[in-house]
Amino acid sequence: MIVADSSEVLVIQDLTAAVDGVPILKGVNLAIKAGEIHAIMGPNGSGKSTLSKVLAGHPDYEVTGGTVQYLGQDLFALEPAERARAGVFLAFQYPIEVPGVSNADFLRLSYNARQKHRGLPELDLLDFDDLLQQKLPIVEMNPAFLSRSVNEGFSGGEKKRNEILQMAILEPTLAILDETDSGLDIDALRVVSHGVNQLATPHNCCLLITHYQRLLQYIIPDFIHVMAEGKISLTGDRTLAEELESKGYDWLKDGDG
Amino acid sequence: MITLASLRQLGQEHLGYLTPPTRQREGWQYLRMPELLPTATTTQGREIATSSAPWQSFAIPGAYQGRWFQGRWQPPVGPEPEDGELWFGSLGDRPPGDPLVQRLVGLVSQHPATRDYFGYSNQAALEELAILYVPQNRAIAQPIQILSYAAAQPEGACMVVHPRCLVVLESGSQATLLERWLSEDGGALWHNGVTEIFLGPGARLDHVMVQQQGSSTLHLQTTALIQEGHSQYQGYALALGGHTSRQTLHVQQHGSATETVLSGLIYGDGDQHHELYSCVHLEHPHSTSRQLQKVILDGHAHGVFWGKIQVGQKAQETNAGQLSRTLLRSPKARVDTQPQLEILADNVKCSHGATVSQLDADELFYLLSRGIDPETATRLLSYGFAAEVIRQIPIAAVRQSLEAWLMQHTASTVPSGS
Ligand SMILES: Nc1ncnc2c1ncn2[C@@H]1O[C@H](COP(=O)(O)OP(=O)(O)OP(=O)(O)O)[C@@H](O)[C@H]1O
Ligand SMILES: [Mg+2]
Repeated sequence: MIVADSSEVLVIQDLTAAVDGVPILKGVNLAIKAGEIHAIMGPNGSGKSTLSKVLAGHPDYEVTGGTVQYLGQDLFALEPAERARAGVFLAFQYPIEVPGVSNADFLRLSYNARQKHRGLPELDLLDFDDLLQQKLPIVEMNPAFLSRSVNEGFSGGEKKRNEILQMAILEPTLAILDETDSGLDIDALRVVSHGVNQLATPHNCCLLITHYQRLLQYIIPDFIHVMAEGKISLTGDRTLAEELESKGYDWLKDGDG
Repeated sequence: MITLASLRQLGQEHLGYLTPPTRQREGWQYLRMPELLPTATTTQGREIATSSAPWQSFAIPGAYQGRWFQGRWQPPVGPEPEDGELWFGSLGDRPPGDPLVQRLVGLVSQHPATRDYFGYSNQAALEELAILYVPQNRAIAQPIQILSYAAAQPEGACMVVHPRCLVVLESGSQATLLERWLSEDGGALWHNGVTEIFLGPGARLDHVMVQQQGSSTLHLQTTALIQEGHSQYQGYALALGGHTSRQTLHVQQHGSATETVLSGLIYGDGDQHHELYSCVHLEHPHSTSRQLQKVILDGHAHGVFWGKIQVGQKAQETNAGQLSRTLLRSPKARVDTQPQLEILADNVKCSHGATVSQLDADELFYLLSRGIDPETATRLLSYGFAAEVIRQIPIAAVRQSLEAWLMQHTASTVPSGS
């Protein structure tokens, strides 16, 4: 929702980034205020996931120029774990399997790291279990998944639910969801979208990366951006999604290629 | 009549013809032998009371526990199993002429793996023989623990201990055995242990071996196993402590439909050197052998895994699998893995694999991206790597203590919130 006089959570200016010396992001500009939901669409390989990884601090991506302010501070001054504790959350396009580490332990360690950062009490096993029981219904997840290793052997849809469960537990200020809708069946899409909507407040914001207008019928974005060749090439309101769905991306090219 | 004295003498005679293996000997290229062996030894440890050893911290609730203290056997303590026919103690408990005693001593040194320099060194010093004897068709529910503890003198000659155990499970019986080897950090110690195991037809043994010796210990341990048909052996070998350690696990299958499962974990840090030498010999049809070895190395540590599987001509329709996986946590750590498959039968399913990797950068980033600090994240991943082995251990108290041990050793700082 667009909230009057709300503060800026994320301000990206002229951001450029490279991987192995190859420029991928070529001058991204984007500002997100508290309460807002932004969607990024765009062709495969245009740099959407790269943007999300750069924001989360993945070491493979080198920031070569530009600035990112998060809550008025230089985001790049923070290590990846510090960004997370400060409220940046990335739901991965391809969530990673971590064999041998139980999902419950993983969630509790993450939660306690965030609590500690906020100066709030850390939870022991029992209290954390109570918290989990409250959060599980948000993504309609079977408790059996808690004792399994993180994402190991989870189906594609189960991994995505697990990402949203983490989001529900960490209550991020900036949530970046990278194609969380891909690979979900209709029911799961509804569950996951409903979860994301439940977590939205006037104080946090969300950046959704998606290929499908379908998701945007469940989660209503305030703005839609199109990313092409490492830049935001167009910004519009939610009606842009339908237009893109029917016309594709070709019409956006200025025809000089 | 065979007695301890006659066995000892036999050991001394054999030893007279043997010298320690040099690096030229197959399988010994990574140990500096014989320089590694102490030139002067003593069986005398530091003067401490039996009660001052850390037995309590390693006690397993409900377990029946025998002890090697300063190289000498102590009668078992803890709740005795209700089954009066179980014999857990030492050979000296019964008269030498007892038919069972004669049968058991007749088994000593029958396994080829015990007939080398170290096996005979042990036999030549044989003062006591620890016995675990389970009669036919008995299932012993409570774990049997054999704890070995030694505290060497801080200075002077290297202390040497030669604990020897004989484990016999008669046909159809079942037991869980835990051997744990401990010593003080201080003085130099050479542990030269031998455990011989005989599993009768259809018997089942779960066998957990935990080496947590002190930092100045040279640990050499041979586990020699003979399995009759339809028997099952599940061994868990964990090498965590000591300065230099080498464990030999040698399994001979003497019947069909026999199952051998070996799980191992080596954890090395600093300048530790750990070796696991295993050999599983399948000679009969319809048998299986599965092996999973995990190796985690940090600092300058060196790990060696040498796993031999021999499938004889008559071992048709057998199934043998081996996998070793190494995690190198430091660029200075080193591993040598050598699977050796010798297959003579033609109808055999055999697989083996070895991987060596560092901490996975994407797994690490995933944990960091959830706010977990780098130290804790590396610790969790190392722990996760070992978990596959640890989680199978059938004794909860051992599992928990190993989990705690790993959590402590795979990171230098204690994480928040746990
Ligand atoms: N770690 C990496 N190593 C090498 N190349 C990379 C890496 N990450 C991204 N790239 C390259 O950068 C470009 C942008 O990739 P990115 O994953 O950001 O695209 P995307 O917009 O998310 O695409 P999709 O819609 O398919 O998910 C691609 O050409 C990709 O191959
Ligand atoms: Mg992508």
